[in-house]
Amino acid sequence: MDKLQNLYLVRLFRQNKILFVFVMLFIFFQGYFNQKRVHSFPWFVWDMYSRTETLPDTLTQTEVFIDGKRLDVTNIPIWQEATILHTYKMYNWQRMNNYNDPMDAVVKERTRLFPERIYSFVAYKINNHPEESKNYPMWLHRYMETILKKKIKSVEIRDAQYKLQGTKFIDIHNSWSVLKVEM
Amino acid sequence: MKALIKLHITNRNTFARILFGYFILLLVYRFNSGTFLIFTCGQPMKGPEMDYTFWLSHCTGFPHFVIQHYWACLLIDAGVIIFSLTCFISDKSRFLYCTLLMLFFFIQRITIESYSCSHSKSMSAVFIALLPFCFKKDKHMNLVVEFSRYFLLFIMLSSALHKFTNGLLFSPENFVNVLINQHSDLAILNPEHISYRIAQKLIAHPKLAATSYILLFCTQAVFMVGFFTRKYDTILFMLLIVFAVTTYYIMRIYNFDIVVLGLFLLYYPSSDKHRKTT
Repeated sequence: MDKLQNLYLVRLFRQNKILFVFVMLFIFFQGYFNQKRVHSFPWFVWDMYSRTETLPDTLTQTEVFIDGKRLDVTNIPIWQEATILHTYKMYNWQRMNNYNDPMDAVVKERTRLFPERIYSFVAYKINNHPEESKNYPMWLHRYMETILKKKIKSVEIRDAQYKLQGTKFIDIHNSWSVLKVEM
Repeated sequence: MKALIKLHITNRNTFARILFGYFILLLVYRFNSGTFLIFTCGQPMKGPEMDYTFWLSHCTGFPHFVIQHYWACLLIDAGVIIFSLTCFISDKSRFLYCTLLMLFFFIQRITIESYSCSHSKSMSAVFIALLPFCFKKDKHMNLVVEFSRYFLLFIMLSSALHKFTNGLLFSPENFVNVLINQHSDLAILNPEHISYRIAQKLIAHPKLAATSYILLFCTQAVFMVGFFTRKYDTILFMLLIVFAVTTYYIMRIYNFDIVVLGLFLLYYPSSDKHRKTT
């Protein structure tokens, strides 16, 4: 019986009922998001390297060119590398969808039980709009100048394909320019 | 070894200084890596992903407003720095400064992660680590400290459980595929990088890779012990540091935010009779 009294949740309930309610709510949503495998702050769904991985035949690697020279993005701080590559991926995603944000399908799904005006409001706030995507290349140019601390004439992003042979990636000389900003 | 196991912090203010000192170090690293709003200001495209909290934040409109105005970016960044310093220095009003720090840090992280389209899960760990300091009374703070400690145990254990339930422990050679995919950019752009050189050794020796994957699982699964006793908390803390350092060097994944939460493994509040005796 003493052991039961010492349990954290029992003590919490006895000492502070409001905190107890918050902790129980937190546990409930933690379970819910774990079940749905959706990470939603401040709940934590962590399954790193916990899924079966398959190897691709070919891989598309994003390459950044500054004034015509390839930038080794792995040599800049990890957060800057993530910012460049992830924002570029978002831009490319919008571009490939003719600047209609593919997230709209998720917005529709999540607001299906609500009136149409709720969907319109959420879509306006969550989706990227064509004019925003079109401003991205200029921002990228400014960002590159800030992090590299120098004036830059041109920023180009190319996607290049590599073939996986054994455990090595071989260049198959198939690359294309997706974005180019010249000043 | 016994002395190491008894490495405890009992004073609330000493513990707060260690935790906020570490938090400030993380901020310096973040500033140096360009993850402050002033560097990302003006980025037009957002990526809130599937996160409900990010969605709600965007519906209020504050991330969009902040990222579009340099003065707002500067104000939020400055608020984070000032309140983390005051939390470090002031013992008397720490609960108030910490509440403000959480508010500013929340706005900063939601905005920057949305507009850099990079979602870092470890932000949750930092928030849960700051939460206990928002309480003035020792009694309440200690209850939340316990919650934070259990939260850390849970996230480590749940990661181990996912590996188990997905059956990867029975095919640990899958880790070779993980390494190849994870380091494809290094293989192409910078094969001399230390992370890639370590990964190459593991890729070339699948048995070694499988062993290291099982070790990774064990490092996470052993946190289950913490649910039953506090006796080995210092060892768990050491394991957490090893975990953060090895994932940084082998996988190029930044897990140092979670170490903030790990500090609760070392805290034995002198005012908490229950925790002192168990």
